[in-house]
Amino acid sequence: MIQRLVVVLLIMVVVFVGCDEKETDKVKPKEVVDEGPKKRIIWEKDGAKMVLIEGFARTKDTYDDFGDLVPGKLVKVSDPFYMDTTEVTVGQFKKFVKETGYKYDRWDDMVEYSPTDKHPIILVSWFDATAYCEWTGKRLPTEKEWEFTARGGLIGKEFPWGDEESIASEYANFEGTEGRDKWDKQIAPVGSFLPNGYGLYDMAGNVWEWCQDWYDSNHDTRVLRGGSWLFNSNFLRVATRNNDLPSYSTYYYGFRCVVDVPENQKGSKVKL
Amino acid sequence: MVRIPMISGYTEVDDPIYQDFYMDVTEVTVGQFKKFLKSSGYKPEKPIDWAELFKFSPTDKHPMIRVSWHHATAYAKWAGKRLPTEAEWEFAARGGLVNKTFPWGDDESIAREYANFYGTGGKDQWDGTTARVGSFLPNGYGLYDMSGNVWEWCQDWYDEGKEYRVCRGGSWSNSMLSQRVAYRVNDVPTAANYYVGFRCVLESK
Repeated sequence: MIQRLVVVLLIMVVVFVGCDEKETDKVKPKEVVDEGPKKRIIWEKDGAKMVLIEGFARTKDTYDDFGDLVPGKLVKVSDPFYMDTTEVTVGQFKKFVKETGYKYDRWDDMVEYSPTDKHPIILVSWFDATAYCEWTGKRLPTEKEWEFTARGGLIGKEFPWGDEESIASEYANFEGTEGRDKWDKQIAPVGSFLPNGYGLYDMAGNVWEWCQDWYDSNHDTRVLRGGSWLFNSNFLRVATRNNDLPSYSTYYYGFRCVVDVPENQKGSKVKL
Repeated sequence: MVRIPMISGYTEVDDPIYQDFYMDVTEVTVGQFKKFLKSSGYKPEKPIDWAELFKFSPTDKHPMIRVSWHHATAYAKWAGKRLPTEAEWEFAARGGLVNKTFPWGDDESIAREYANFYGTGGKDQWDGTTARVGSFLPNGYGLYDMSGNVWEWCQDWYDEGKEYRVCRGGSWSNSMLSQRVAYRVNDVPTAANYYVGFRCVLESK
């Protein structure tokens, strides 16, 4: 008799305790928050670290007729896209060639200037760069995208880090050695310097980077941006334009990729 | 403003001064001129380039610059005052002293206690910009920056041809020589430079 009572009691306890938990779950459902596309990703195909470029820029502060400050506005420059944080490396390009059998026979020359897998790939034509991009599912940046990202969020400044030419060697591998720039007449491994405001490395110096666009209405050369290890600090300016035949390749031309944010990852609107 | 008393003073300028008048203790400031623009609806023919202006007069307490003789006159009128005549300006600048080179006397070595001019030293910490008005010692009449800081527009024509208006006082960008109380310069009334400003006077009734 007592045993039965105990069992009944136990069952009642279990049932009532069980009931309580279920009630709590019904009252407070878990909230799902959509934060939009991820700020930093690793592109599976080539292992490239990429950052989200949100495509907003702040216009310059101005003054009204009475001398009162009119702060700059946030304007949309482009749809969001991801950009490689570094130039495409020897290691990455090797993987591309191995998996596709793409014809690239400059290894012997290349290794003299870009000796490790962590150095930027060089001796690649615009066509080689484009082929790599296609393999990864990415593309070359447009000239406008390249300059916008090189500015790193700063407005009206000469270089990716601002206006001070004297600190260039903290950010860029260019002619000569100084500061962080230990490479004279050599290419530095990617990411050896300080990044710009968007977390991009070597936008100035190291190697010139192929862009998508034709240089001008002649449609015979493609745009190159960024300056290189061979050139002086004048060529590190964000606005400096270079160009060459798309079939041409040399020791100071490389590239990096961008990709538009995939549709299914666009997520909620960007907070301004 | 302070009252400048009428005493038989010595000036190098011909026009005599017949009566007391009141004078602004300091040059007209950026803040005062902004107030004028907002409340009067006065529209300069060419809009003021504030970004450029702030490079040389960065706060509301700095002297207003990049104003033409016409803007200065318009401000004075709005304020119920007028620009000083050259004689009034010089008389006031002498601060009651007689026959001295500078508003404070003849001693060049103490210039930087009284004036913002080219270079730095003493109270003059400003190199390349104007100083906040009233940053230095005043002269005998309690007027500040009669020497240095900005040249000040006067009412008069400089020349018989009536092409130029008078400027007095020297500026932040000029040498010691131009701080002399009798030194006269001129410019076309439409000129609006970063080293020229003004102050006002009011006749006493």
